[in-house]
Amino acid sequence: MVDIGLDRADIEALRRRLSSGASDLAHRALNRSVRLAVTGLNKSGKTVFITSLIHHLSHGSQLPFFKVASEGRLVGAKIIPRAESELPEFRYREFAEKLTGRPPSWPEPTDRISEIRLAIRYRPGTMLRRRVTPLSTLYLDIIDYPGEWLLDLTLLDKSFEDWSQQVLELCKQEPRASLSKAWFDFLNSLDLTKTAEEETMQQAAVLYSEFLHRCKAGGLTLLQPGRFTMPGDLKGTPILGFCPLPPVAAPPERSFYSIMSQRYEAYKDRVVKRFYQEHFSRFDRQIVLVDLFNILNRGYECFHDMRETLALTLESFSYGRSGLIRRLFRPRIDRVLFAAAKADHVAANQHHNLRLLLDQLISEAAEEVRFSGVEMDTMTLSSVKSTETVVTDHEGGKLSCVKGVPEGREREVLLFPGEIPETIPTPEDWVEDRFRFLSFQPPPVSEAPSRTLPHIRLDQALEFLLGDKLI
Amino acid sequence: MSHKHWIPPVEIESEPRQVRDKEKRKPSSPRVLAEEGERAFMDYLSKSEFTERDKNFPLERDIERLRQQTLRQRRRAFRWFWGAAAALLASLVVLDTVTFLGDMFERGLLLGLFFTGLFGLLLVAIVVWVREQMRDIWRMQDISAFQEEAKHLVEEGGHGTVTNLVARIETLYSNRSDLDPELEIFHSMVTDAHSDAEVLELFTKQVLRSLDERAYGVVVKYASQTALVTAISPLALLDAVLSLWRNMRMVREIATLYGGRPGFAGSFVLVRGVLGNLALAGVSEIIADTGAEAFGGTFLASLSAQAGQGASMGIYTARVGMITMRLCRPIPFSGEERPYLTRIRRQVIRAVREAMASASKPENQPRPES
Repeated sequence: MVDIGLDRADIEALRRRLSSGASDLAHRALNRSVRLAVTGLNKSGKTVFITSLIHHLSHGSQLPFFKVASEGRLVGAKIIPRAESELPEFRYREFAEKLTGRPPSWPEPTDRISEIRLAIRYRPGTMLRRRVTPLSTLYLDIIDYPGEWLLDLTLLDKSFEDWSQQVLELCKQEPRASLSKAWFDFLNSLDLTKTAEEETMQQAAVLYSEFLHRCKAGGLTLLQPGRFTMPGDLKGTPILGFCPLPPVAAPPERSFYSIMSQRYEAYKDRVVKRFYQEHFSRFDRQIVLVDLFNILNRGYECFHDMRETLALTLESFSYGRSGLIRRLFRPRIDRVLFAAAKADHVAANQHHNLRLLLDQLISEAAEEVRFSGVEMDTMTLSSVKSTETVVTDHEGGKLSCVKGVPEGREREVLLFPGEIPETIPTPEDWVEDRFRFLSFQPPPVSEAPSRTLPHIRLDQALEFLLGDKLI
Repeated sequence: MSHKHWIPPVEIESEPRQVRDKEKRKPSSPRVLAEEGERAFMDYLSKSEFTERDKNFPLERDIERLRQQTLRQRRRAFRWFWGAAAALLASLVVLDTVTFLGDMFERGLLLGLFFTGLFGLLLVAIVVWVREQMRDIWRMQDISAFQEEAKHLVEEGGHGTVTNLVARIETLYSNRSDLDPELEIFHSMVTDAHSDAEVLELFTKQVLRSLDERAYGVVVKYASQTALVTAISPLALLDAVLSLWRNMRMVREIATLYGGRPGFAGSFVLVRGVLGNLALAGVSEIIADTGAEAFGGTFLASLSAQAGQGASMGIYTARVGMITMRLCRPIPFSGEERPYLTRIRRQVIRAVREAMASASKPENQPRPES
C-alpha cells in the first residue's frame, strides 16, 4: 500500500493546531499567553516541579526572588479547564493532595505528555500599563513531556543504516555489550534477507526494548528511540515494532531488513516529526530538569552517557540545525533553563559546585544554543525541600550534612552524602561508595492554610522563565 | 580534579523528628553523635583525612592585615606630628589652668574650689563628648567595613558565612521601629539554602530598598531647594555659603537614615569621604552631563543664566547626595539599584523651570505700567 503522506489523523491534527493557534496568536500578540514546557529524563522530578509551581503561584508567598510576588503584584493563579485540548490534563489536584496530605508522599512519575492551563492575575508594574488595565492576566500553558523524546531529533536526518551502525558501535563497549547479548544472539540467528514474519519482527523489537530497559535500570540515559523506554500511549503498537539491524548489502523488497527500515521511516514521520511540529514548535519557554545525584551514585560511564544525552537534548534548541530540520519546524523557544533538580539531597554549600558540574556537562552544546539567540541559564533547585542543611561538629571537624527522613524509614537521619566535585571526576576518582545520595520523604506541611511547601530557588526559576512577561 | 582528600559519606541517626520551626538549625547533640557513630563508620574515619575547609580565607586575611599594617606605618609620621602638637597644646592649657587655679586659691579658698569645680565639670563634659565622637567615627568605619565584607562575600560565592555580617548590620537598625516590619519579612524569607550572595540580595531588597527610596527623596528635596534658592537669590556669595550648610545637613540626614548617626566628628569623616569621591567622580560626571545634553535631554541652555546657575548648583548638590548614599549604605549598590544622576537632573531642571514659569507670570502684569 502506498503511503500518500496525509491521512485522516494528520488532517485532524492540522485542524486542531490551526484553531488553537489562532486564539493563541491573539493572546500572544498582547503578551498574554506563554507555553512553558517542562521536561527531564525519567524520575528527574517533572511532576513535583509542576505541582510545586502551581501550588506556589496560587499562594504567592515565600517567593522573594520572583519580582511579581515580592512586589506584591501577584493576585493569584487559577487552573482553567481546556475544552479543545488534545492532550490529557495534568492531574494537579491529585498530586497536590499527595504532597500536602498526612502523611505526605511523592506523586508517581508520569510517562506521557500532559498539559494544564493557568490564568495568572497580576497588577502591572509600570505606570503606563497600570493605567491601561489595573489587573492583567497571563495565560500559562504548562506542558509536561518525557525528556527521552528529545533524543529522537537526531534520527530525523539519519538513515536506517546510519542509525543502526551508530547503535551497534555503541553496543560494542561495556556496559552495553553484556546487556545486549540476548538481543544480539537472536539477531545473529536470523536471516535478514528472508521474507519478514510478524512474530520474529515482534520478538526482535521486544528483545531490543528489553535491552533498553536494562540499560535504563543500570543508569544509562542515551537510549534511542526515545519512545521505546517512554512509549506513553504508543505502548504495544506496531509502529514501535522495529530495532536497529546489522547492515545488509541489497535487501529484497519484502525482507526483514526492508520492512524494519520502512517502520523506522514511518516512526520518524508519524511520531517524531509530529511531536516537533505539533508540540515542540509551539513552546515559548523550556525548563530541563536533570537529576545529577542518581548519576553520581552510579559511576563514570553513566556520567559520560548523561553528557552525550544532554548534548543531544540541546540540539533541539539551537536554530543552527541543518536545512531539513529547519524546514520542518521553527522552534520559538527563547529561554531555556537547565536545572539540577533535587538540590535538597545535598547541603546548601554544595550547590555552587553542583551548578559548576552541570555547566561543564553542557558547556559545548550550550555555546551553540546561546549563539542562536536563545537565552540559557543553569540553576540548582528543589521543587519541594525535604531536608535541612546542618553543619555539625563531628570528630573534630565540621561536616555539612542534610537532615531528613529517608524514604522507607521512620526516624530522622543526619546524613553526610559526600562532597560534590567542582570538575567532572575522572574514572579513577570514582571509588566505590564515594557518594551516597538518598531520597527523602516530603516534609509535613503545617496546618495553617497560608503555609506553603518549602522550596529551593523555585522563585528564581520562575523569575527567569516568566519574569519578563509579568512586568 | 583528582581530589584525593574527599570525605566518604557517613550516616548518623538522630533523635526522633522534632517540630519544625523557623529557628536556625542546631546540630545534633554530641551525645547522640557519639553513640551512633560507633556502629557504622569508625573504620571510615580511621582511614580518611579531613581537608582544610576554609579554602583561602586565612591567607587573604593575612594579606589584609599586612596592608593595614603598612598603612598604619605611613600614618605614623603624621600621627607623631599631630600627637606632639596636641601634647604641647594640652600641657600649655593644663599649666595655665593650674596657675590660674593656684591664683584663685591664693585669693580665697571658696573661689579656688568654685573654679576647680567648674574646670572639673568641663573636663568630664569634654571626656563624654570625645567618647561619643569616637563611637560615631567607629560607626562610620564600621559601615565601610561592612561594604568591604559584603563585596568580598558576594565575590566568594560561598554559603553560611554571611549570617555574622547580617547580624552586625542589623545592630545598626536595632532601635529603628520603622524598619521592624521589613526586618521581620526578611527573616521569614531567608532559608538555610540561600547562598551568601542570595542572602545579601534578599536583605537589600527587603530592608535597604525602602531606605534607598527615602534617601533618594531626601536628595531630590535638597537639590531642588538649592536650585530654587540659588536661582532667585541676588547675592552669589550668600547662597554659596547657604548651600554649603544645606549640603552638610543633607549629608547628615542621609547618614542617619542608613543608620550611621554621625555626630560632629563623624560628619567630618563623612564629608572628607564625600569630597574625596567628588574629586574623583568629577570628570566622568561632567562627561555624562555633557553627553546627556548633546543627546537632547533637558537643555540647561534653555533656562536663563540665573536659572541655569541655580540648576547647576542643584545638580551639584544632587551629586553630593548620591555619593553620600553610596558611602553610607552598609551593602554596596549593585548595578541595577544605583541611583542615576540623569533622573535627578531632569527633576531639578523641571522644578527650576516650573518655578521660573510661575514667577514670570506676575512679572507680566506690571509691564504695561512701566
